[in-house]
Amino acid sequence: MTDFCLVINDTDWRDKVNIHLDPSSELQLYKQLANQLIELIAKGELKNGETLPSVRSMAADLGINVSTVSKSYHELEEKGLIELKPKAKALIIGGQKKELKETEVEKVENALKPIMAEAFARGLEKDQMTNLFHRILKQWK
Amino acid sequence: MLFIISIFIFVGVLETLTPFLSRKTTVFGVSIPEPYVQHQQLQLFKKHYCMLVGSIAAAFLLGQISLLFTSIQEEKFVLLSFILLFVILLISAALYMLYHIKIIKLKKHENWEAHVKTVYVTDLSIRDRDEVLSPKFFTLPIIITLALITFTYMNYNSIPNVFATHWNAAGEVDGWTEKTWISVIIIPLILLGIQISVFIMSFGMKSAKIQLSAQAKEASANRELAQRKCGSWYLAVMNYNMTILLVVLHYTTMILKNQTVPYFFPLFIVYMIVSLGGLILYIWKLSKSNERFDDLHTKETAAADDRYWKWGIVYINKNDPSLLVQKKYGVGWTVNMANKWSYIILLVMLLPILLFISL
Repeated sequence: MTDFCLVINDTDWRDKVNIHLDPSSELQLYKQLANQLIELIAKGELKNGETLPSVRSMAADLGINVSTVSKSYHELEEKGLIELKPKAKALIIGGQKKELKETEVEKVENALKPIMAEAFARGLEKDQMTNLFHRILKQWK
Repeated sequence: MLFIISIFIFVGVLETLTPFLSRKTTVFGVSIPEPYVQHQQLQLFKKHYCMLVGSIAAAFLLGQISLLFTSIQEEKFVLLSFILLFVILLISAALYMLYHIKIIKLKKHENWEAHVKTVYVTDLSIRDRDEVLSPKFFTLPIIITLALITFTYMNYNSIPNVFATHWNAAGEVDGWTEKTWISVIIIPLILLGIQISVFIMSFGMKSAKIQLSAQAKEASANRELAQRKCGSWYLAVMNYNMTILLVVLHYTTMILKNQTVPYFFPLFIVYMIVSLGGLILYIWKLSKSNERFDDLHTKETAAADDRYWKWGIVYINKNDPSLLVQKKYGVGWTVNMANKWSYIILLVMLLPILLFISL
């Protein structure tokens, strides 16, 4: 039998608009799907005005439950990134530059704070944190 | 006799090659985790099956050819050929089950599931690249048939009280039917049943799942897209082909009241050539696009759906909203028995035939 060698090189095949969910991860499937969709929107691989596959075909193609996909789509809708239209269309409305309202900026800040606080408490230097920030931001241009 | 032999050859070759036409990740109806697709035992099973079915079919064929040189009656020969064809199908079905069980055992014995990591994958752009024919394509034959039924009723009075319904190979009439309001449209009615089923299926084909592999993503995408495109094209060609044949047949006998026109037989031959030729082309296209697993570098595998399949043949999945799914063994589609539309299709297809029998 073939010997396995695990090559950690996920940029190699996880390119473009691929979705890759790992059921053994501690993150729930619907959350993984939502996160990956958000990242694709941030990267501009899913553009404003495009539509996502319908909940049914997404569930069928991935081989997961319809309700799981539906949960991710609703999360994206709540975040104001997609708009669920009749005929199972999910229109992407995020992904464009616009002035955010003060309350929305506050929301982002509130979400970010505990993560940064945790990193700081665990001993990450402020410089390192800024570098990390820039590195992540670079991926989205 | 040559015609029946060519059918025998065709079925024999097809049955022999089927294991190699299926996806590499399903062997004899069992899902193979991607890191194991090149397992030697699997290749051996496929080879053994091919050799067994191939040699039996070849032996039967030789027997038939040698009979051609004796003074055997045509009817006896055709009957014998059909029996041998049936035997070949039975043998290949039995071997399929045998290897299906063997592979399940091997999978359990070597504990493959524990050595792989299951993931769910898809490509969001895949649906945009999909070229399955739209259901619109399948509406025209239905309209033609409805028009034909209307036209038949408009000419009801001029239809003779008994009319031809069966022809032998020489194109002579050997079966007659009495005229009633149903019997005069039985051919278009059967045609309509098939056309409506195909129409419903065309929706199912569009929504059927596109299963990508985790490690040969692009290759599996290409295979899936080719299978979907060619599959729907073949269905459309068959649909139009059959519509032309039956409409011409019905129109000539009912409306023109001409029971023995010389073009029936050539028309039938053209029909057979298009059907079989289309199937060969379809299979050839498909085998060319079959995915390869040349560089397997992780132990990841796309999620398998074995628990929704009975013997790798019948698909029952409540979680899958689509009507059709690609067959696990062989080429083409099969219905999701958990979907109520699959029963509607069966009913629509069988209704005219039941009607015909009850007449």
